[in-house]
Amino acid sequence: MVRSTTLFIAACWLLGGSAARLAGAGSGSAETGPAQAAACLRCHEPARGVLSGPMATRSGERQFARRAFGAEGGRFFAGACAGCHVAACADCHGEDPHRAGRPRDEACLRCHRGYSAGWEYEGRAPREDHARYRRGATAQGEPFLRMLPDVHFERGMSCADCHTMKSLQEGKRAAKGCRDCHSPAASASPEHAIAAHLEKLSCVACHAAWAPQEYGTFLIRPANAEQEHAFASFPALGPWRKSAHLKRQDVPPLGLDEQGLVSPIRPRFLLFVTDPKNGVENRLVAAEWRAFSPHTVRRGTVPCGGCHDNRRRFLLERDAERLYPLEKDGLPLRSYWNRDGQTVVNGSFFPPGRYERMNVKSPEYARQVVNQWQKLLDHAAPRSKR
Amino acid sequence: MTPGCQTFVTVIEADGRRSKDEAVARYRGKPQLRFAPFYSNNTGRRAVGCAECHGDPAFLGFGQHVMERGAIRSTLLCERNPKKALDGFLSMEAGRVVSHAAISRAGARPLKHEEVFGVLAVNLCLVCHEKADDPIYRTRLDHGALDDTLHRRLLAARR
Repeated sequence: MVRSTTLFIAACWLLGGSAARLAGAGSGSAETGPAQAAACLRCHEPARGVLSGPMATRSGERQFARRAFGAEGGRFFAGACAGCHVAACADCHGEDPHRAGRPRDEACLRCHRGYSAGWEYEGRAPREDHARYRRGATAQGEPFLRMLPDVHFERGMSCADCHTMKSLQEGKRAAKGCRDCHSPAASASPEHAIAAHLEKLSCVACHAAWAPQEYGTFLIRPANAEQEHAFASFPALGPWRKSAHLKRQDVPPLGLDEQGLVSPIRPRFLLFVTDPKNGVENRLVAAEWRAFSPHTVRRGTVPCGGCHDNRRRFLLERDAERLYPLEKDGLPLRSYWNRDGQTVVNGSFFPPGRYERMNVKSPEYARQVVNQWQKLLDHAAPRSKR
Repeated sequence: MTPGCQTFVTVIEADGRRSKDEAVARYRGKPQLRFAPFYSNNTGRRAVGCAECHGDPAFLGFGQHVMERGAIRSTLLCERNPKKALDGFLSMEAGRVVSHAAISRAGARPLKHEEVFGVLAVNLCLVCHEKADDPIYRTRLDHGALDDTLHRRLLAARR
């Protein structure tokens, strides 16, 4: 019972929403949604693809619930997420879609915020969970950390410029990929001069400047008043309180995506559950990573050493290199940045053999390292301003 | 250097009005965030390697960043001034190193432009001359050596 009647409430957050949002979002349309949708579909038949797609079915989240909570996953999902999905055209297009036109970014970001991909496009990252740090500027009702936005956002592009209605109707994530608009061969950057980069890496592997990452997601169900008080400053998810061991907003680790390209990966989720009343403490119910595309694209990238000779970036951290000895906190993982006991659900970790090969200092590598630094140093001005 | 302190001040008057709302506290006569040198009491046997420090401008005070178009661009920004890093005290635009935060200990300062570029310029050598006991590090580095016959031939051979 420990993992049945209570944990599903916590899944509101885990599966992409918050309790408050779930209570409001989609609930109105849930009742009227089918009728509204039917009316729209009489003229917009292809839109049926959206209403049966992942934003409506939330199939990915359903599968996560099953993996994390086993046979109780279905109930877990049903209790947590029934109200958090696209049920009607009006959920995105508003009540007067013919006047409003295509959805504005604001409509997308109502759901695609926090740890869900999308918010970062405008330079927003989730703040810490503790009430003390939930301050400052807010968007979609949630305080955010100000980060460098995506270069496409700076140029005025909106979500729908890439994620067109047609692409969503066809079950695709986007209508365009980076190379539909950009030619890496046309760039004079030292990194693009290396053929392996262009053949084996996704563009965001290098050009994603940062991404929200949460290492260790903790759910605790306080068992008495003292514990309630101790965790009162953390967000409540039903009877549970949620906190994170470590949130980072820097360049994410790299693995392989479903196409076998080197891609950013991040935890989604490294989930620990504590329920003192039932004798459960820091039970690891999921240790999953996902390949993803951070919407934090910049022209530049990290220096060569940001990837080469950087074991942690590929989840190959050795024991002697750890700064977080997790076992001392009683956690059943030795390191968040070591793949042992963890998995990538939509790809794989970068093969160790390939890692060793990519760190061989070939003459071409040395030359491009010199080029990269020379390019920066050539911009040096003669005097500093203090 | 660690942040010390980055103080944002909110003043709520008796009538509920906010006379200050997350204003950056003044230090040495102007609103600015502060950093302070410190001695971290977590010494270990292992030290960062040459490339870890020289090859990562975050070590110099730029905070987390990307390098683009001859600039080091911070990615974690001050919410009161998005042109400045929150986790760093140096920035670089058009080749100029600029200190945008105060260092709060007497006599302490960020590295100067020439010093920053001196540290970064070591990367031109470090990719081949990896060891600290390499003879080239016994004297002041001659970056013009990259244009000498030997280096030109080596670099040309790599094309």
